[in-house]
Amino acid sequence: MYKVLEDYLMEIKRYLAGVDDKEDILKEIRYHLTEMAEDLYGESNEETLQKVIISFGEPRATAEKYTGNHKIISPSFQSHLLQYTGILFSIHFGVCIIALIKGSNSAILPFINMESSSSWLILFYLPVAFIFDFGLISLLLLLVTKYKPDASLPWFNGFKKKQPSKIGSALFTVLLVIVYWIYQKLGTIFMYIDVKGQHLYRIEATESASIGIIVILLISYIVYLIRFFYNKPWLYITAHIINLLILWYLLKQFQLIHIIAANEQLTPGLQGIFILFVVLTTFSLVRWLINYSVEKSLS
Amino acid sequence: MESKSSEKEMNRGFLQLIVLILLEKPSYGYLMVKDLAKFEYHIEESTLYPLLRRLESKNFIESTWKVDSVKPKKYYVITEEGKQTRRQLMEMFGKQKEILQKVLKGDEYV
Repeated sequence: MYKVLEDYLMEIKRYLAGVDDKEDILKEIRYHLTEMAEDLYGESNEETLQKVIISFGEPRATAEKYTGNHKIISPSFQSHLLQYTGILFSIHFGVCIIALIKGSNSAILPFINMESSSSWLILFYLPVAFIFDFGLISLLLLLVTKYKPDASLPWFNGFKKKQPSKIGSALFTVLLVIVYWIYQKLGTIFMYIDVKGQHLYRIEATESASIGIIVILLISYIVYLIRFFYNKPWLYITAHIINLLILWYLLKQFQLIHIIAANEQLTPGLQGIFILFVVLTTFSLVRWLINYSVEKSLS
Repeated sequence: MESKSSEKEMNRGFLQLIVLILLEKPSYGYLMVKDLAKFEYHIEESTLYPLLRRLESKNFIESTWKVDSVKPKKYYVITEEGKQTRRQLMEMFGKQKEILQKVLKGDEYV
């Protein structure tokens, strides 16, 4: 037992992670170095072994020659890693937004969960969620690499990007004008029809909420027009996030305080409409986030 | 630096063939290094051993530990599958040599 040799072999062993028969490899190197020292210098001792060890090479470089073909995740799955993480994180992000806006916990069991205890919690939660998603997908791909390296994994090409049309933009313009006209006339865009009396009533205390909805429509309209010459996912993602922030603000600041007080019996219905709006916007945001991650995983 | 890496790349396939030829008779790592040195072909031991392991995992060679003059040594020998591969590699090497000679006869490459 020579210390210089044992230290050298121990260091190689440290770098041989994931390699089978480590002890066999080390045994072979041990006897090789001993024989070489005896052959070249007449005996094996600390000094002569040190010399042959130097000629054999750095422990890390030596170990890498054994691990050269050993990949934790196959290079052919690296685009999948980015894409799957992107898709999972997009869903995670969507669940967070819905939990935040509807004000209760949301969960897609077993691993996607968002508690609504604090609005600011999302800022801390999302980076953790991303690391978790990345880790989970890495783990799955690691297992596939180990047990089924030739597997053909599904590849998602993204949701179909719809091109804006002239008719669409014309309809959007008409909608925006009508909504704005109603607001100018009635001071709100929220109304209900009394079926018995066949009267149209405006819902009280919804002026601010109406402005919010008009701003959302205006943002969506501008983005729709930009799409004619610039059709990139990040544009919609930004617009959707701004729209969701407005919706969140409306739900928290106005509806709960003012609208409930003025229209007690209408509140659940109104809240439902807002939440439906949030869910649809979030769903659309998730689609765009997925498209963005699909684009990025190929670049 | 670049020529060194090209040399390494070319040597990889060649070394595999040489090892399969040498292992017609059972041999062990250090002895193979010395045998090759006699033909003025110097290889790094740290390259040879991982190669032997890869060839063994492909069933081209097989190994056994033997105690030879007090010290244990891991002897390798070519298998039938290895012989078949060696034949194919020899043919490929012959063809490559032929192509190379033909190409070299063309004036602008020399």
